[in-house]
Amino acid sequence: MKKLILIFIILLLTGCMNYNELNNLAIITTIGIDKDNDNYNVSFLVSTDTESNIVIKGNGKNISLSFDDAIKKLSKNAYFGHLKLILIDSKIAKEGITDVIDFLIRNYETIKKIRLVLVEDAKTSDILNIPIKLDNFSSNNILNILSSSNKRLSNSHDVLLSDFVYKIINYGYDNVLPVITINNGDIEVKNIGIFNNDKLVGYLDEYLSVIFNILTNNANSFNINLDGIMIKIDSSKSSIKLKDSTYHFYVDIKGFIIESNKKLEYTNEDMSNINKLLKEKIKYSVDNLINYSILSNSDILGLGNLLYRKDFYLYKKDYLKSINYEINISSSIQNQGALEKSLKDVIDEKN
Amino acid sequence: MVITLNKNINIVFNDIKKICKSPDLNIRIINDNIGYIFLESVSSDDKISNFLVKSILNTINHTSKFNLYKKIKNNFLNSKVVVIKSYKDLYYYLTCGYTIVVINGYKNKLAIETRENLDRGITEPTVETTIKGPKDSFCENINKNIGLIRKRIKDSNLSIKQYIVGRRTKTSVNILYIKDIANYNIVKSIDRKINSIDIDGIIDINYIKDFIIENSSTFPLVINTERPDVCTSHLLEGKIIIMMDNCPNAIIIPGLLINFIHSAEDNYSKSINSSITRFLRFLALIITITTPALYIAITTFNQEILPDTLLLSLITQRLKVPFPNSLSIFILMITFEILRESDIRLPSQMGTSISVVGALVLGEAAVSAGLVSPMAVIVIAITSITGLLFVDPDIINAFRIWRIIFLIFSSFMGIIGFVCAGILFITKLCSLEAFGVPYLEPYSPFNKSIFNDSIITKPRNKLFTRENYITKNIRRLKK
Repeated sequence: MKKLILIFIILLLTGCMNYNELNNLAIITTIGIDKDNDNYNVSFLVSTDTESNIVIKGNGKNISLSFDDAIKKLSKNAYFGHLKLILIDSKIAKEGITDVIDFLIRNYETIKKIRLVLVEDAKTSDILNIPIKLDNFSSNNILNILSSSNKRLSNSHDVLLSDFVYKIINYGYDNVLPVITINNGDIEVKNIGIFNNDKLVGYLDEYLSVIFNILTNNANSFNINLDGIMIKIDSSKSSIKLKDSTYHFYVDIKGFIIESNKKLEYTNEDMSNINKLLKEKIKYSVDNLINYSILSNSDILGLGNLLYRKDFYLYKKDYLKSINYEINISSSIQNQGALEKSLKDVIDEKN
Repeated sequence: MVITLNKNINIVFNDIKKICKSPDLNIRIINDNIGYIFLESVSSDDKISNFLVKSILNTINHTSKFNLYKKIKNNFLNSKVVVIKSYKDLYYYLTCGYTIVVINGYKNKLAIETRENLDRGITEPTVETTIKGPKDSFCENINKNIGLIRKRIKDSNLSIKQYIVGRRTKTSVNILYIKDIANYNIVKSIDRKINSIDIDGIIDINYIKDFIIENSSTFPLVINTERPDVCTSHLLEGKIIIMMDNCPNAIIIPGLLINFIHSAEDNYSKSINSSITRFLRFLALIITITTPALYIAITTFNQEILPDTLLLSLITQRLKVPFPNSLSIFILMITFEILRESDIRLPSQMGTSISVVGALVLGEAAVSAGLVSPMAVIVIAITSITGLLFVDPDIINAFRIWRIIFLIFSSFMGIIGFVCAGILFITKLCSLEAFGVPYLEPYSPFNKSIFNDSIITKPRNKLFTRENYITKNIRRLKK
């Protein structure tokens, strides 16, 4: 009996710490952060039930003040446990994103698997206010737009808060973030923004974004236009190696023809020509990407980290300016899709 | 107090009339030298007039007065004759349905078995039902029950010990075991414990259970069964069975947790199928104890675990409910327990009305009235249905207690409390011992020899050994 009473007292002494009834929670799934004239504007996307969301805004001199301002307007406990997405205005990113990241990382409640997305040419609150068409809540909607376009076109790049911080802390890395914008009232994936330390310094266009995804092994599938022949690449592998102060880029891609407005014989000669063209094109683009990265002084491929890990005495501040590199591409086009002959050939034969 | 019986027939009859003032006492005197007594309520009139009276009348016509006793004793047509030397025995046999023959001039009296059949015969099992397998179950008559076992085991090593327990009820209690398999130490300790019982009366086998098990744990340490085939299979494993007169249940000693996961059906279906059902039962064991606690811990403390779509739908469900989540789970749990209890107590004709009310109250009205959320109903439904997979009411009740302990811990401390309760639970299970056998055998301590017949079962032709924690004689299948 004494034991029972003791156990019960121990239970009562906990005071039900962290007790939170479900209906007292305001679940914030997305946070948008804007800045105008030294004032931070935050907007919370609060999911009230499975169908509807509301946007609550607040502003202040720094991020925590603006958070407090927004929380004042909530009738329930602000709950950041299910925070999935943070939209950051690209203006903030241009000035330096450290303040925002610092605040987010310090917060205990948030999980560190939050996606970071930049917003260009629009206010984040506008994006949150766009009525959702296919998904239940806005955060899912934006994430699904990103992931589906990544799956089909490989033109965006998923960045978690933890990855972002990892790259800030370690030597020889620079960050990238996906950029979205509003186009005709719809959310659209624009491109990838690249950083130098914590400042946004440039953008990769759609084609370079694909190449970037190939080199970081994030590409799922994408289409390449070779003078009228569309090739769908469905598997790609790449690796970067540092041998004798020369970077070797190995890219291996496989694909098939999905569209062609040219007359093709599909002989071995034809196919090897297409292969050659493809290799040249990819090689040219990789070269382009590396040059762009050097030009904007943003080591998005993590070349400096390879150097740092190999020999940190060689690691200098502006190592990017003086690198040598070599690009090796291997490609194979396996078939012509579901067609044996192109339809044009068939028509020609019939006539 | 043993009072020696008098030689004189009239004195004996007078004494009996004094001891037993009962309207069903019948005394008949055939002539001056011979008479008989029986209790009408427990004896069969047919047997008395057909066998006893006929044989007495036949004998006295051809016999002199002097060797009457010997002749009568040998000439009875009945098979069972007992010689009685005291009033205590006399009264015991009288109430057992024997007829006492009193002969003038002899101290010893003769008791002849003329028992009336006062039981309902062998019927189908009502609690432990199976699809395949034998369909007979124990009844209230201990002789029939032992007969059902003997029918199955024709081994001379099957030994049966009888005890008479209860100062007033004088109930016969039997322990059964196979001499060369059973652990003699356990037999001895049970023997000692039953011999030391000094109680006015026992009604059910559960009385004996309390005397032979000193552990106050909620988990049952003996198996309660009404099936003779289950008893037989356990006897062959080297376990010991206690049976009692007037009780249609037998208890099997020792009972381990794994035995409650097994059911009689498992032996009669393909081993792979029974492995799957046993695994399901094991899963049900975990689900039935932990589900409400996990639900409370997650929804009131650690919402991060839930996927956000589920979290939002839970929130929508709970918007109209005024009570804390844990309280509504408690309300539902108590409601279900009341329903279950009423379902057992009610006569079967009224059972449907209860189930309709229960389904409506639990499923529909409570939700639409805003007392509980639909998810809470689902949680309790899962808990209760998985709890009903087990046959033994004792184990179901043990689960119920632990379910509540888990629930209290989780509603105070969330997942941390859940883990605390889990540690308590596992510690308790590990510390239990049923007659010297660890309760979690064969898993803790791990025992390879019987692992093959625990949750995963092998076919019968692959099960070579007996459960070696009970018996030393472990070879079941000869190679």
